[in-house]
Amino acid sequence: MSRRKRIITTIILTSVLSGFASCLFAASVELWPAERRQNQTQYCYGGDWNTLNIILFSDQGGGAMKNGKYKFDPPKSFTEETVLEITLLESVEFLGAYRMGDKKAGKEYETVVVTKDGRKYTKYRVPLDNSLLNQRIQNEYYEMFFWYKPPVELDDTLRWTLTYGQEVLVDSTLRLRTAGVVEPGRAMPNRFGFYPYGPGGLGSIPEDNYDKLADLFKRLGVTGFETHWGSGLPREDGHPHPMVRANRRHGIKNIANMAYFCRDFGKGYSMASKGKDSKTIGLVEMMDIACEGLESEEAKRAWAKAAPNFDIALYDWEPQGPREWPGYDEPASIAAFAKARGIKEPLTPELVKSKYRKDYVRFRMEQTARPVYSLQKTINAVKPIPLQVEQGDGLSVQIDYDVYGNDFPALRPMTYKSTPLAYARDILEMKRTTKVPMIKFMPDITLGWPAVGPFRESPEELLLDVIVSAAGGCGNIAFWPGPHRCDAIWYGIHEGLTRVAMVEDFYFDGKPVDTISMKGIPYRVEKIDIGNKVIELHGPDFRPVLITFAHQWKEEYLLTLINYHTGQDAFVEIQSHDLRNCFLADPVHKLYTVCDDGGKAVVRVKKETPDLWIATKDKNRIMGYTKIDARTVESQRKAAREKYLKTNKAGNVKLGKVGGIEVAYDEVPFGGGPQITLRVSTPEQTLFFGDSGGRIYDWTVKGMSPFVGKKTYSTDGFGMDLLWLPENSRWKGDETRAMRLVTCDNDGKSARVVYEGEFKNSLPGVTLRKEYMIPAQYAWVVVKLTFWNERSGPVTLSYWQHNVVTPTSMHFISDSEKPVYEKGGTSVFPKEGLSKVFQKDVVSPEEIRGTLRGEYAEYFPETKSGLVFHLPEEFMNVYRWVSPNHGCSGSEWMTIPLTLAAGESKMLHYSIMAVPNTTPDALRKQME
Amino acid sequence: MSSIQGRRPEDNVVKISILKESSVYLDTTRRAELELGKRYLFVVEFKIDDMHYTGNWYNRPAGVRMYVYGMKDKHSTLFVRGDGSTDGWVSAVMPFTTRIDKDGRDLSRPNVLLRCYNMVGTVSFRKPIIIEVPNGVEASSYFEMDNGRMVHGGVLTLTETQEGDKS
Repeated sequence: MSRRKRIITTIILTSVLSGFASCLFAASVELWPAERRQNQTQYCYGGDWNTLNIILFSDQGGGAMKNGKYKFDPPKSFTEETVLEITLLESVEFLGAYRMGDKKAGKEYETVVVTKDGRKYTKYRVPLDNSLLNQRIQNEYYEMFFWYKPPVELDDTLRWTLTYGQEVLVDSTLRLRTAGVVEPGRAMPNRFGFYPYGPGGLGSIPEDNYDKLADLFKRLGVTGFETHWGSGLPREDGHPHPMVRANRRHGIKNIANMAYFCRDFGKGYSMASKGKDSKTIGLVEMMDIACEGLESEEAKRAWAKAAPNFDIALYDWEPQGPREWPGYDEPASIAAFAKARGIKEPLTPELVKSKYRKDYVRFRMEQTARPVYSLQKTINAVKPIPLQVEQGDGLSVQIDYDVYGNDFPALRPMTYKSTPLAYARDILEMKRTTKVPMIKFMPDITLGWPAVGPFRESPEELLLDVIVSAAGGCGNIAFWPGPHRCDAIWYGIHEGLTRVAMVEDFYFDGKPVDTISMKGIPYRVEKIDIGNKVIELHGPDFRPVLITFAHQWKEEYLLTLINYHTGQDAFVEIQSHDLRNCFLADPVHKLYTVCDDGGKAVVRVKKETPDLWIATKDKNRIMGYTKIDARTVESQRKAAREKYLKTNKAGNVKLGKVGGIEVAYDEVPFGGGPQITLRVSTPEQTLFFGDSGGRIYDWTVKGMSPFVGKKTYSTDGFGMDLLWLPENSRWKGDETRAMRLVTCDNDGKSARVVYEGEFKNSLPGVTLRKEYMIPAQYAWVVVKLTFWNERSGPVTLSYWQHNVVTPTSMHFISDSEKPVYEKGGTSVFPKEGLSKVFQKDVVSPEEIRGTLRGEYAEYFPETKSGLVFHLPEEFMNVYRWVSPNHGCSGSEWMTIPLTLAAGESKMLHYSIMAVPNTTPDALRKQME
Repeated sequence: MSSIQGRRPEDNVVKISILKESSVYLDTTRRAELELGKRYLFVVEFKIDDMHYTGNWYNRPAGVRMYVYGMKDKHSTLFVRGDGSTDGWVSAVMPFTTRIDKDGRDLSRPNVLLRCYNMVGTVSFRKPIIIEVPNGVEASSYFEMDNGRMVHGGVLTLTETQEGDKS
């Protein structure tokens, strides 16, 4: 019996035995795309219209719409109430919810005001349509769009739950953050356009106000929107879709997607797809049929009806490439090839695969491209408009663009790469290998789709994509999918377009030059002689990740420097005789520096950032700009070098067993799935360290029941680092960002695990080095935290440590006069004698139940075990909470505000000891 | 790869000529024994003449792939795809880390697999070597072409025409 059959049999038996008739397929649900981003962030446009897209998928579905994060077994029929609840900060305005099948995006939903951490939130309750859900969940998907308008600036949480009857299927908390405000009037490029797939999938929108939406898209920089043939045509009332009309009013071009048109009139052959007919009628005959249909009078009449609504046509063509020929090389096609090329000798399939291979590939590409020409003829017969052609993946190995590319205004390769760097490399490779001018290319880029997961984490990553496309010579950029599957990640495109606008003439009218050297300076170089050659290794290595371009236009040069390094700013040495005594002007940040007599300068390009520098002798270019002194850059470079060498000197992880301690990589379940961890085991305890926030994912102690919360990736574990102050730095995603594992030593007496990371979102420029010491004896972990302030000025922060435990019953034991607090719920214990100056910073003062001096314990009565915390001198308060619904509790603490001058560091020590088989009294004695 | 008398094994050149679309594997028969928890570089030189294949390279293996292949399917790979030649010897460099997970997936005892999949053409390999990466530097996959051009990342795409952009 196959595995699948066994599973099905088990399901049937289980259903019969339990009396619960479940489906024979699985379903899943998620809030796309934030749910599957590592940063767990949904981006929104500040002060503008936004949507949350929640989708329920069937695992029987096909294409892009499947694989949601939260899996569940759907009932045979949804009969009980299925409810989505969305909780947002009160200042977020609700605009309406569109559930698939609704005629309007309604606002009439039940709301409840809830308070969390002293802030008011509104919970919206949206029941789903069970009848449509039952229909769609079989083999498609069901979705809803929640429309909202955040304030201009927001960085908070978004909680959503999905319940079916009494069963909670999902309870998820994500970060909701404004990407920026799409200000009106920002200059957009005149020539470099943005042509995304359209918003046809949004359903009904609030108040049917399509002008509002079109205005936002216009401000974002959309040049033209794709519209599928079906939804773009005039409807029965004689008018096209209101979005199409609104686009026109706002100067956005409407693009007719001709895919269905070509499929229908091309009789299914226009994509040269391999099918049941391929062995009988062959490629040439297929193309004859397709072209005849596309050029037919019927096709022209159909197009004539729709044409007035469109400014551009797009053929989502996606043909199979000319090398995919098994099954096509039947006698008729080979005979047609021989005739076309004047080959006299008798041809066989073997000969066309060998002697005539290259020419036969060419012939096949010529044939494959014929329907595109036919489509153009039909379009032009009504009214000539540009035809964009979508095909291939960017590299010319599958599609030979040069066979037809010069005859069409724009080629849209679907360059869907999982990282910005992979995309950049693809663009460079395409530039190198394709004979069609790059300006014809309009790559389709993407943020990912549910079936494969997100390809872009943030708007900043799309900014990189836009700049590398423009600098690489592409004439435009496109995007798939449309706005219904995008959050405000397009803000990165908007930002990229504004930057391209500043230098567009260099890209379009200038010429690439190779006389300017631009190299990232490494801090360490190792050369390894392997006999016949020397391998040179750099630390950091900018060679694979610093992508540069130089364009000359008139008397000036534009230098485009894109640093894809995820951990290091690049100090780039720019050198050319042509740049002697030139100003280097950064038009984006309005900064400038000066090249020396030898034409040399060093600029700093931040990690994962594009920089634009215009080399000029024209003083007007730098009017109003701030000068960056070369000495400042040099001192920054030295500081970065010093830090790199210091932290990478012993940059290794020593695995294996020494004495009683063993260090190894291991997998543990955490946050709903298996996670790779660094495991440190002693006879008394085992700790599992994860890169995400350098947290303790699990901690098992001999004789003690499991106690670490591991259910929720974004919040659980031990030793999560947050900032309590500044207030706007809370829950900014740094707590789960991957920290670098700098060192793992083990001398048999203790193991030392060191992580390092930056508070990139919450307090950029402040880094944390976290050093865990795990002794061979005792179930104990000692932690040294070092904060570095690498900002140019002083910074004040309050550290917040977050620990989640599974027991929901725990007693607080303090080292002060009133030692034991047994009640559940939220409780706060400030430091005994805490200065009045800091009392205002204590969390939830209404929940204060007592004080402590510096040590406390949590006792778990159900398992008769506990944890003893020794806090640093600078602690301010302990904050505890219990969540029976989630089956977990929290024991957290914050420090008083700590001020670090520029360049200063601050160290804190704390420890946690786990004690099995204990009592409250014994724990209290442990503190003495 | 066996030694030819009078020459060190790593100096041998293995030349594979594939006249009809098919696959040829050149795999080590013994696993290397490497230290756990370290970073290594696999380096090999190769040359390709007139490689081509039919079908889609991503729906089935096609072209040349070089693997460091450990236990239980743990592996690191370099790909060469497309139609054409390398115009000389290419150095392929691929870092990998030896670490073991609880399922025993591990690269510390790898085989080296040099494989030509479903292709036609001539492929030569020489000088395979595994070296340890020193601390404090970064290592990433790249190909260094005979003319010094570096192709970063794990994929090298050959094209029959190398004329490039005319923008």
